[in-house]
Amino acid sequence: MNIIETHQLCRKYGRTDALRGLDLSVPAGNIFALIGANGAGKTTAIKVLMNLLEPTSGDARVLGVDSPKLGPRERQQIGYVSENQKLPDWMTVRQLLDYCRPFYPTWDRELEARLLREFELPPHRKLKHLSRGMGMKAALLSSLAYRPKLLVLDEPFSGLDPLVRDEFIRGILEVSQQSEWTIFISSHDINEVEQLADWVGLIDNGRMDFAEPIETLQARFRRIEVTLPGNEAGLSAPPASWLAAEREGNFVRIIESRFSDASLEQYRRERFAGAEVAVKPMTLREIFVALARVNRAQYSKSAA
Amino acid sequence: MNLSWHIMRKDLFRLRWILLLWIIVLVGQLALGDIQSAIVEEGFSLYYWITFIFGAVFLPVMSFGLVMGVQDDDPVCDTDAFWITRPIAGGRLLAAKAGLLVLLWLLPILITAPWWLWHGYDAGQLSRAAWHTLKVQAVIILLAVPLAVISRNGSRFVLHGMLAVAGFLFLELIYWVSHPGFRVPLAPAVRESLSWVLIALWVMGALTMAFIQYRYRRTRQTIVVMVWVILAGFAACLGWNWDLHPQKPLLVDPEQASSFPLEFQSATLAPEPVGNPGVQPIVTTEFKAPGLRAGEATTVTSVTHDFRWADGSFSKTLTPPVEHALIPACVALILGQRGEPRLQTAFRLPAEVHAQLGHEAVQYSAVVAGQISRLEVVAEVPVTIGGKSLRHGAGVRIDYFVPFLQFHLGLVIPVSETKPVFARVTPAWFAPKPAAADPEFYFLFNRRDGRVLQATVVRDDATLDVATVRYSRATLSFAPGAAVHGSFPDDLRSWLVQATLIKVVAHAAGSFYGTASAAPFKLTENSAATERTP
Repeated sequence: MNIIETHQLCRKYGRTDALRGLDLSVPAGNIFALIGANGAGKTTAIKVLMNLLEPTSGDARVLGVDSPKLGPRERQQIGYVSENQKLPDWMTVRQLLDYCRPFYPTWDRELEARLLREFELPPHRKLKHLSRGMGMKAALLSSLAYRPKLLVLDEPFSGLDPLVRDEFIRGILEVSQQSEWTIFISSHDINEVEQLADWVGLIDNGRMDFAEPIETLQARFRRIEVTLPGNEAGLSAPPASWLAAEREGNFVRIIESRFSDASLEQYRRERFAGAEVAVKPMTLREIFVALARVNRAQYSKSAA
Repeated sequence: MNLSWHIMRKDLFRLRWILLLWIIVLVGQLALGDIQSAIVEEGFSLYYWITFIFGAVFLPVMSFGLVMGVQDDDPVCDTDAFWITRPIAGGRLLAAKAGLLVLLWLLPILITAPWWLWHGYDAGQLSRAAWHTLKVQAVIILLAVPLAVISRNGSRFVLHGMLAVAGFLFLELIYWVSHPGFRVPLAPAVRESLSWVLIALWVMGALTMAFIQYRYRRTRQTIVVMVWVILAGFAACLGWNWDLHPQKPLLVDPEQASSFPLEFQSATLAPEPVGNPGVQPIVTTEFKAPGLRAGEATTVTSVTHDFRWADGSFSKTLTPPVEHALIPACVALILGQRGEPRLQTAFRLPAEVHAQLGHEAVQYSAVVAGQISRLEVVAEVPVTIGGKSLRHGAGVRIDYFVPFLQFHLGLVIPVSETKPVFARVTPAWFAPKPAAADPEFYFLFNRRDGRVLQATVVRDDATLDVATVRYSRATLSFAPGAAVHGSFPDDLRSWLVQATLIKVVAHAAGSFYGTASAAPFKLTENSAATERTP
């Protein structure tokens, strides 16, 4: 079952297309990371999903409900933390929790107390006097304490120092292990996402490039390094699955996006006979950078 | 409801210091008003201006800003607002904010009520003062709400407020440029109906805008609604020419003619002005009006005088309305004179009638129409001269005498109000005005010599509403002479000390329509004042 689904979702700001037919499916019970470069449409997608913005066209469903119809009943099951969110910063942490509590029938005071301790939040300090990281933790706490079915985090790590990021991630993971819930997180901080996510989706220029489990993604992306015996490169008519192929002298580096043992064997046989071929796994960050470069090159070409 | 109350409590807690400051300013204004009411002449202006700044600048501006303060924590046009991502329905938030605005609307009454009671307001005055306060507060809130619901924070609200003022001035400029006749004032009834149209437009617009924003958060549509409301209001200002008052009853109902008997008493011919042969002489006719009850008097609206001659020819003349017809009756009321109710008319005799009257008898009849008024002395207060404070006493203080302009042959007496009482319409300066349409008359009456002076000019020099208590500096002008009853005594100062200031209100008590005729009479001489009593 998908907890979030979009179909041909479009959103315009004036003449600018922020989303251009976004198709997205987030399966329940997973941590789904939506990654993309700045301006790719991550925040807009989340705002449309959360009914903060109306879609220009297309459908978006969250918890089985059309996102423009999300009401208090659904929101009682959704947690939302965003770097842009304007918290009532005149409140203390305690006042924030006291204010939020009556809106949620499932509010767990024990969980609230435990998270307050673990996040080391000073309950009587005003939110405006908290550091950015502490503020995000306070927002997270106010979104975790009612055990939502869906937790939406929009760029939660931006501006946080590494220590706070770790605490933040630890807090999310700790609670997520106790509850059957789905986390939908948007970020361009790939390293943090890699620690958290089960699934990853890449959004680029308002469209989904792909969305799949991280394991599958990392399994199909490989860096292939070939040391040629002579000057014959074997790079003519590269297959579509090669995202990049660079040559320096008799050394060739290829990024393969549909790696399998069979394809490797085929390359060895048909293109790099007699060459020394090394296959290296790629981190999510490397995959993201490779994809971003390809996309940028395509846009430059189409713009030209 | 519990959650709405929960949101309200949150906002009340957040706004507690601003509300406290607002209350302090309001109470400060009341205190200043009290000081001002007792101040002697020299300090009046200073306190007047301080109190004015408190009451007319600080409080409205603070109330205006508080409307944004109510919205500020939960803006309805900001996609990053905290409340949107929480299980708070737009309707629930609207209910909470509306509740706060109602509280803001009522709060001035709750704070000021003890002060009103301390100043001796009766139930009627309390209700009028409360109504007045609610109106002022409602105007402020209704002006601020549309701006608040399209502002994501206080600074945007200020910006939108400034834009609104600039836009208003711009529209007014267009109006002036496109409407050379702007200076021609609209008829009061048309102006009033136009005001109601504008108020209705703005109220409907404000409610629609608030609904759209809280329900759908569509700021563009809201701004479109606002623009349409403004354009519709502007169009109404340009083209409105209708009086929407319900049809007024006829001033005079001919059906009543038979039920209001008049008896012709006398016709007095004033001498033809010497050296002005072209000017027609004035005839004063007097009728008995046995239909009038004690304490009633009439104001003549029109009289048609009908002169018929033996050969069947006739002449008609119409007397214009007589404005000061009630004054003799007021004087009689003050002096306690109980004569037979009479009605006087005066008119200029047409030249041909005047010429023929000396030769043959004429059959005279008159058709008289007018208003019946019930006269009532609503207040009689002693007069004090000089700077003595009469703060809580019942009286007027005459601060100084100023010989008025010579050609007026009068005297101007500025009078300070001494007991703050709610007054709705100028120049009701020492008692609540019973009804807007009832004319008022002011007299100085000295019981020792029985002399009555009628004020011919009543004007507010400086008025200041302090929580609906009107402090005023009224000017009464007493002018002696033929047109006005009474004359100045030689020792005015000592005469005034013994006098009281009396206010008489003429309550409308219906209208009449009557006819009267006289037996034929003939004028034998016209060189001197001649009375012909048939």
